[in-house]
Amino acid sequence: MPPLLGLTLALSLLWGYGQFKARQDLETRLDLQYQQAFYSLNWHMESLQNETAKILASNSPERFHDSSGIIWREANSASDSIGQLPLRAGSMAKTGNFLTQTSAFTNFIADRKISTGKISNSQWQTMNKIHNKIKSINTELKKIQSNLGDNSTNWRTLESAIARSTDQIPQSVLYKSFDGIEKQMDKNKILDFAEQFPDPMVTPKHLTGTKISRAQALRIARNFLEPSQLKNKVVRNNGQGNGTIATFGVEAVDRSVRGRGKIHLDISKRGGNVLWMLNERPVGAVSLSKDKVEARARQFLKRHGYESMALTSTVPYDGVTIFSFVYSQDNVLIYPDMIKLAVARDNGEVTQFDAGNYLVFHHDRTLPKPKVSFSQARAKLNPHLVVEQEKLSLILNEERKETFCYEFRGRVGNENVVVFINAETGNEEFIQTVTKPSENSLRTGTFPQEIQW
Amino acid sequence: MKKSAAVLLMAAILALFALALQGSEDPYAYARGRAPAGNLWVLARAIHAEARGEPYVGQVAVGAVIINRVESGKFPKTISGVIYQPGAFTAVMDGQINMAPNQTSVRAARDALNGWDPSNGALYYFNPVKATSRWIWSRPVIKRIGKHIFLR
Repeated sequence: MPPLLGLTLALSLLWGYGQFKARQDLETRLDLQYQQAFYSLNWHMESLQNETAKILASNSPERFHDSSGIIWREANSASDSIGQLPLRAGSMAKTGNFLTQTSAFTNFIADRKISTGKISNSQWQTMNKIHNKIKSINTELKKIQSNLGDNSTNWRTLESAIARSTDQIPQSVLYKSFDGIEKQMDKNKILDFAEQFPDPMVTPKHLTGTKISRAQALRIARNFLEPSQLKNKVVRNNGQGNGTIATFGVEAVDRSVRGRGKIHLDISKRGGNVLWMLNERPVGAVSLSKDKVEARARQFLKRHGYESMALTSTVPYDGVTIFSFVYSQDNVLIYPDMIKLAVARDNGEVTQFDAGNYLVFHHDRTLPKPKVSFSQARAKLNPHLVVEQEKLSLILNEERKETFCYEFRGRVGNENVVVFINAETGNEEFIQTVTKPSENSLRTGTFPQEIQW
Repeated sequence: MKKSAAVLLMAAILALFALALQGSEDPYAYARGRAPAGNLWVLARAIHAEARGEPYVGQVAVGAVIINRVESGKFPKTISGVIYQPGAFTAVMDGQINMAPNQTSVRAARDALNGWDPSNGALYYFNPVKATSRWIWSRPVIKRIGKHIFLR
């Protein structure tokens, strides 16, 4: 017996040691990845310091142009590297934002330098502040570099400190150093471009009307839904939301089978507009044609008071079709004022509705007269573009300004594109590639243009 | 004796074979037409990992949070960058993301990619019952959907 026991013990210890070595190996590899991300961050930040210095020293539009491209790339890479470090997600949000705005601002002054030959003194001062801020981040990063290595300040201990911690600031020297960098972002706010480079999360400026009560929200929800949708359902309050638009939540649930067939609505507190609606019911087999479904979508908009809406995009999938409509004024497509809805192809019911963009951006506008004619704009196009449709439209440009444009839809090579030419300056304002309906596009965030094909 | 043992062995092998076939479900079976590529697939996996027990509207909201982060400029700038950011999503970190997503998660991912956002612009969310950190409570609350509280 004893020899067998001894053998078992020896084998177990051997196995245990093997496991220990394997684990050490993996730990080392993981630690190496974090190290690489950190040193990459150092590299890209130093690159940024270098390039921003060049812009401060330069007087040539070509240099501005080249450096802004490099700055964009390096800021992106620095941001990526931060995202690979084992810090809490969002704990370097302000730093990430600073990097994003650095790229945007550099791009902005490069454009100015190229088109007018100069930048203003305050713009140069801002660039200087950006450069100095980057320099101070680099100083901090170098301090971290020199502190790395001993057992209390390596990436794995940082990771476990964060995982163990319930506090705002985990007990880790490394974490505190990065938190220090993040907190520095609040001091002397450099980039305050609320007007030029607004936070991608938009604040609605045009939501009007009186504030409604919860009871009114219920009434509005009942009026919004079809009688067939309300049959056998209980309509009740479902909390409230303090997002971009403050809302009351309402849900319609099956009276008999609780939890089934829920329809959700969010209604804006100001003005009582339905912000969005979602019907969770499963969609059956397709039985309506494309034209019938499109007609239902148009009827829905009319019934709910959305007049003068033009269809810009149709995406069919999974038994529903998603339509994007934009407000049309004097035959001009106003892309920011967009409404999306999904129509089920089994019975034509509108199962999803989203008027967020419309509620945020729609307001009374006087459209200017184009300073450039259609033919002048067409002459600016790339000769390889085969134009198939042309219209007038209003879009949001990269600085979030409403820009009046000619839009040319066409083909270039194998791609479908839409080219927007500024109707007042004749400059090429924006190009959008069109994805075919079977693929899935990322929604266009700051550019709520969705193009039909 | 030898013959019946051989028959038993054959039966056992066949049974194992049948079992193996059952277990190897094609994860792409839920995609209509061609297998969805790129963003949709990883987003569906993340939604499935994080929110598969939640109401549909909660799943879309989780997808929307990921996309909001991508567009915010404050987080990694790609969907995969946001999802795989170390420590960002617990169900990603513990490997649940390796499960095949179901049809609901794929639908939710599609809706999120097409712009539906039941969270009204949230960048964070957590389950108050499971959360151990106090720091997340300091962020401004937007709303609650199912088990998750969504925050700015």
